[in-house]
Amino acid sequence: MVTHYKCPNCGADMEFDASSGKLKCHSCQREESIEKMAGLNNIPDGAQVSYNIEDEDKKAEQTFFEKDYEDPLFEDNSTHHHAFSEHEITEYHCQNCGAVLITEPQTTATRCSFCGAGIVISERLSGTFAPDYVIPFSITKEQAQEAFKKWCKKGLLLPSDFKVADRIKDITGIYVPFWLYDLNGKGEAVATCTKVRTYTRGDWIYTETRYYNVYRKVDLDYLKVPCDASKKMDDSMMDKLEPYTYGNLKDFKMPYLAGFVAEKYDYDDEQLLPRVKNRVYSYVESYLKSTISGYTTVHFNKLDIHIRKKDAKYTLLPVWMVCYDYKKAEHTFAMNGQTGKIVGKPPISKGKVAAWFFGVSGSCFLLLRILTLIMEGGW
Amino acid sequence: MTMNKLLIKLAKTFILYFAAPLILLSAVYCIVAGSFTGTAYASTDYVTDYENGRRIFDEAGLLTDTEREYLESLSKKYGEQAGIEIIVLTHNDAHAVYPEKYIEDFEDLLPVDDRVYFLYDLYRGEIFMEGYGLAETYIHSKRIDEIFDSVEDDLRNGNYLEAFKTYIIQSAAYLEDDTELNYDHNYKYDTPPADFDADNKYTYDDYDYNYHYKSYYKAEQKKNNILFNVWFQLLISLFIGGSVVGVLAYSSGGVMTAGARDYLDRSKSGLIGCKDQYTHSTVSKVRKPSSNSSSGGGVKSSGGFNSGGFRGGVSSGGRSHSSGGRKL
Repeated sequence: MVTHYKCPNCGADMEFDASSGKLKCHSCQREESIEKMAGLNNIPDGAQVSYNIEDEDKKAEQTFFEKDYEDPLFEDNSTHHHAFSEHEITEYHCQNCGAVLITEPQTTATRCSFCGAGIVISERLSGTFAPDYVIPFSITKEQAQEAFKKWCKKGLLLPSDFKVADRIKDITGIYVPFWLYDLNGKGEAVATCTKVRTYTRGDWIYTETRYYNVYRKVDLDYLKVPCDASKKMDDSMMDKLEPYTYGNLKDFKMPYLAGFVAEKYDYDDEQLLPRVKNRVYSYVESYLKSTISGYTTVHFNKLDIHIRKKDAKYTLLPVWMVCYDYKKAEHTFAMNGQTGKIVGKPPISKGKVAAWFFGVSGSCFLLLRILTLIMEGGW
Repeated sequence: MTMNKLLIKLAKTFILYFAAPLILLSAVYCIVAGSFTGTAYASTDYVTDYENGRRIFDEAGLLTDTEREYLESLSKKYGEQAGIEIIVLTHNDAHAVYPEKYIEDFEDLLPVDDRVYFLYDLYRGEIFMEGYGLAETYIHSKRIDEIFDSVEDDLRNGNYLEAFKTYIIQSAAYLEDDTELNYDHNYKYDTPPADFDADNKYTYDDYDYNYHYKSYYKAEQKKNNILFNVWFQLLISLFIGGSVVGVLAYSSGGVMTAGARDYLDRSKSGLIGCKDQYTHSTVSKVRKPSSNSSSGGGVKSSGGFNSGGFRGGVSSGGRSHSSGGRKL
């Protein structure tokens, strides 16, 4: 099923607006709350719809435009009806223009490549693929573009012609599927520690070593540790995008996706569990080790750490993907759609590396020589 | 993987563009710096000359060839008679080390023997004597002062031949004189010499000597300190430069900033078991290093500068000696 969000006012396509956090119609600037628009599309079969025609709607009705607004009850008129199966590439049609939607099996939201309307494929967001949470975009496309340009200017090793940031080929807002894991880590450590003290009596220097048996046990809860569930996205790049602020974590509603690209997960939470467990293992380990302090040496005899998954929530997190053409090569950058943090692999200018290397080394050397001269009074 | 690629690329760039010119630069620097540092003497030449029987090393060119040959024969004659080697050194080298160290370094080049040295450092306008082996006992500070008293005027007046002759004969004579041998290096003038000027910092009592050379001596120590070594500093600078570039390159693509603290639920987490049990102790002891043992290597010839009055010292090679010096 393909879902469009139509402006109740003028019937144009509405899109999620990052600055207001609402759905916005770009033709008549009307804004609608997510809850309302989500409700419109989620009305159970057979329910009576009472639609209060507001003033705007009345006006709209009087202007006799076709498809001024859609009756929510008729929303499920998807153009394709055979049963959805996961591995099948299903063909969808844009409800606006009838063009075939070019989607990959993972795509859950996209734009019609023909008319540009934001589309949500609700079928792929239901059942096991229904996300629990979403963090909506809080950075708009324009802000993202600006932030990217600013970031480029700050890069000390980037080539000058790259810094101009005038070749942004494409900037796409993507909701990337993540699993947010709640994990419990229990750790136990037995260590032999020493405290060493030296003192002088007469002509002798004494070294006293006191041995301790040290035992520590920790019980740690880690909440909402994210793990990228998309095959397409580079794992390390996605990890670097963290942290997200969970204050803005919302229960998932489809209208959030309107106007953006979204994908469903390629890996389920079981498949990604080892990766996230590994990560949390190191957290527990360093926490455990940090509890032993005040000793000269620490030798671990036993270090037992167990990580248990308590919960995993399917969550869509906002990422701006920036494609940048530079010297015939395409560089891809990702920006945290909530905090604006940028990661990627920018080109490195050899000249600038050389300049920095020589600049820093040279001035250090000069400084050291001057210091030597001052203190020595000669070469 | 991509980070590795970046690093490899960086390394390649480094070798191609930096390492080669850098080595060139360093070489140029060293040649330039080297021309300034200039070692005091080419040690091998001295050793060869010494082995060929030379005892008069007149770098300053105070003597004519005939005078020098005369002194050589004199030194040989009196040296054999006294059972020591009597050596004369002169130089006018601005970059030479201070007199005491100059003689010590010279001594360290030669095989161990009984020797007495007389150095005339024209650049500083100082004379200095050191006695090694038997000469340490026989030609001690007081006698050195007496030799200085005898030669001082001749040196001032340019009668170098006469001065060195006196030194050779008087030194040899002291080896025959067994009085005053329990001399404890604490020699002080009973009555100050006629021209002794307490306010003149170049008057040679030990304290003044110490004062005069304090800065020089410190500089000498610093020269030997690795922190002041040109190569070490170059290495440090390159390391800092490399680190800065490395960090810049590494962080250019963004770094991981999220860690355990971002996800830890502080309300439910924490330490639930904690025990620190003392089991036993062990004690080991070592003897305190005695304060007068040398630290090994580097400059050790501090003996001559002790303000306590003791005059004498130990060369880098570990040879102890008597000493004395005077400003002309």
